[in-house]
Amino acid sequence: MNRDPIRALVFRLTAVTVALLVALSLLAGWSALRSFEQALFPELRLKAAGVAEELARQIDRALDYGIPLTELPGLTETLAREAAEHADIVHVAVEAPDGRILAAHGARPAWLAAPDRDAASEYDILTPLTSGGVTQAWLRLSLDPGWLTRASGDLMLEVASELLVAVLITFEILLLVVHLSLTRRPTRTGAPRPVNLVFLRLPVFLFCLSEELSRPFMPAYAQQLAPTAPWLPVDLAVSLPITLFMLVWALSQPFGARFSGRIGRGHAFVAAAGLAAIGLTMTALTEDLLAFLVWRCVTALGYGIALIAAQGVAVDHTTPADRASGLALFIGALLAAGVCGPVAGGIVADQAGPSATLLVGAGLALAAAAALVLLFGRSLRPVPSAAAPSPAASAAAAARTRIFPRLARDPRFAALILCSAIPAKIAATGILFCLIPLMLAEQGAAKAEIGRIQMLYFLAFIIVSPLAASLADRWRTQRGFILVGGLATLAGLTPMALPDAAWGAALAIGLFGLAQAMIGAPQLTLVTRIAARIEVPEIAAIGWYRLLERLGGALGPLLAVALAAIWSYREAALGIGLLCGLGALLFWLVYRGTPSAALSENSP
Amino acid sequence: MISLSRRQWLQWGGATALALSGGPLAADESPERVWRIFMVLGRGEGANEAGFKDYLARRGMKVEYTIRNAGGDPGRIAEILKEIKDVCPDLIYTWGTPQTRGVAGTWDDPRRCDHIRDIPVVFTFVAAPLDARIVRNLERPGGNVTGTIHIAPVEAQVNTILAYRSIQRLAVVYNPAERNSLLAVEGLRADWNRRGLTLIEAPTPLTDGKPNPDDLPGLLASCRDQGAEMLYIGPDTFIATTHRKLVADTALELRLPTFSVTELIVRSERALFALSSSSYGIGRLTGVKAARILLEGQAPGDIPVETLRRFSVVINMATARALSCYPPLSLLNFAEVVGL
Repeated sequence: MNRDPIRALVFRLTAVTVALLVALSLLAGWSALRSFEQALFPELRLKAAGVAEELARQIDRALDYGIPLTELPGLTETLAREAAEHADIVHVAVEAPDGRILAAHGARPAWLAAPDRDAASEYDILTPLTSGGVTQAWLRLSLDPGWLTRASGDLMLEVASELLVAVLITFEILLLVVHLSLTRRPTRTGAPRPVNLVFLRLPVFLFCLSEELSRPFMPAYAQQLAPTAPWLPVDLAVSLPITLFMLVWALSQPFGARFSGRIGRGHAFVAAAGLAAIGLTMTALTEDLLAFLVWRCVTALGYGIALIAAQGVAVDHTTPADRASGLALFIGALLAAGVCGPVAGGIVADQAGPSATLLVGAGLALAAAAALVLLFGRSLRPVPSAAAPSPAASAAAAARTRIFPRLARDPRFAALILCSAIPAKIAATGILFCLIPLMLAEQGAAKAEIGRIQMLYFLAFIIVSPLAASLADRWRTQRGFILVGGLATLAGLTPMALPDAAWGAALAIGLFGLAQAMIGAPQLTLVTRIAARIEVPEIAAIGWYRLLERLGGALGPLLAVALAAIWSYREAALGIGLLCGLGALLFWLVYRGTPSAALSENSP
Repeated sequence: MISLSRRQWLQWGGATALALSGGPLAADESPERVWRIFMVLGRGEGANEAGFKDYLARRGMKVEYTIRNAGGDPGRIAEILKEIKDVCPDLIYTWGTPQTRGVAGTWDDPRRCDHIRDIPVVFTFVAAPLDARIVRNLERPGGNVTGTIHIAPVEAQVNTILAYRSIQRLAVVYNPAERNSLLAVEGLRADWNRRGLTLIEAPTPLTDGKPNPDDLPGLLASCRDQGAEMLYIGPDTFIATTHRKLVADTALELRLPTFSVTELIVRSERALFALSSSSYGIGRLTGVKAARILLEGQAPGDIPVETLRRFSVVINMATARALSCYPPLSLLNFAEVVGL
């Protein structure tokens, strides 16, 4: 793809640096993990010894009153209560001097040494129970050997996800730095240098990050504010912020495109980023649900305009031939932010709280605006050639309105939108943005953990999407991919029903991202084909397709929360999965018989 | 089993502990002033009165006490009322429900003028001042009366009983001639039945309106025969104070564990356990209210009727050993143990 020698060099430099970084970080992470286990175990023993001492003090008091341990009521309950407060203690028992167990809670792992006081294993803490200086019995506390393994496993996941974020951010910065230093060479002709679209990545990445940070906690945050609007059902209070955001975002697209064409993409991006920063700041500060909803809408407007303006930059500065690679740069930044945002946001929110995270988001939005100004300077001023002049824009808009009836009358377009695109978007907004954070928060998961699971969706998407796109093109079976993707969405979500919810959810979201990645590119290919068949401009068809898809996506949170209110979070997710699966099947049946080979594969 | 957390034990009451620890200690009036306080008691001075007097002394007040014992005799009350009207003290301190009702009357009594209406009355050792119609409202009692409640809420009592032993059948022996006893049994019955448990009620027979202590052993034995697993002793002067030794000894002989809402029968006799506030502490709290009236000039009707924030479980370990009925560890952890 990169035949340009500079790009090839950039790519190689970046690859080597990132590889080096990954290797070093893995090494550091691994050694940290080992020292974690070594350092933690004595601490665990020390804490357990404290617990044992406190328990023994209580029992000794009973012994001092002359209460025989065999007749002391509630001993087992006391042991159980203490064990329940410490996840790392697996077994507590009071043993008579002859080894007989007088009271016990929890099973001692079988592979630990036989209960022999003289050879107490390193996982056991034995404390004598005495009265008048005479040992009457022994208290045995056993640490759970599995707990340490689980704790270091959790830590490993955390380190790995943070590593991934670090690598992606480093990649973005490296890409930029290398391009900056290479393009400073004077141009031989003295003509203005063409705009380097790589520079677009950082502003877009930072800007998307500002919004993605709040992914792990947004629905639970709205749930907290729900009591300030008693007239609104709680279910609605939870889903409405996401729904309104999607709605405003979708509706802002046509306007945003015209607006940014008129005042210049750069100005539009800066203004919209400013608007989003104000929206995020006010969202962080408000304590009232109604105001919260209003500021989410303001943020959505800024978000929508900024993204369409940035996309406009990519379109303005590419020819139809290299437009795909220009847009790929843009989408790459979006996905990188999708991976980094939830993880980073979860960590910040766990440490500093949701409001602080939203304020960080506002700062990132401003940083994105600043980055765009610094990197592009005056090159994004509205110029007649780059930005569509208003008469042309309004003509295009007029054309659009006539295009829609033609698109809507096409059964294939309707099938694609209704049976595949909208269900897929509903699944994304309903499950990924709404059900997953609510369900995991209810189970007591940390926000960083929720962010890590949400990240898996984008990660699977990044890995699978290019492969799926090229395979679908090569095998000429977009329809088949859409069917398989829809069914895979349903199949992938079934691990949600697994009893170990955190792992089930993680697996489900990974598979869900994988399934969705299979259908994105084939859907777009089919839109371009339909556009060619019914002779409407491809760009307009895609515009309509995106608008309708996002409007449908706005339904996602409403549907998800409504289903969850009737059933449960898990069943609601499965229900939406079923919608995707059945939709895909229906699509396959309806779209059947369309001669696909007769049409050109690629856009003109 | 009903679980009972330490927090539950501690959350009753108001800012009582604060009132006890803070406050200016210097005399607010000239040191020459001698206050006259008239005490109407049941059977002589006890820890309650010691706490009351100590508190006022700590505030630097010089007090001249007049002490009269009514001993539950309504005839004596009339004499005492007459004396009060002659002496016209600065404040009246009453101990127990009969004495308090005798002095202050009830708020809805048509013969209001017979009782004291113009001198502040501070009562103590009244279990249920609302039910006894001594005050209309605990927060703002109104009129010339305020005071302190000495027993824990009935729900807490029942929680304590069930924390000790998860029993089904509880017997209550009481003197139906004492209004406070009747009210206490009513409250107990409601709570105990709400939990689906069985309450065996054994009122003492009355001859000419008076109970006879000779009936007590037979009454307790019949409770035992009806399958009682524990005996409940309420705020009943006849049972818990006057004949406490007879009751506690008979119960022990019958191997019937005994719970009491006051501590004397556990501390001085061999009843098994009690949930009570310390009498001395209650006396001090009563002193706080008296000082607010005398030194700070507040109207009694504006001072809330309160109880201590802290109740303690008192366990007689000698009795526990004799009955082989030991407290669970959770209760023992914060109980006061006596009778070692």
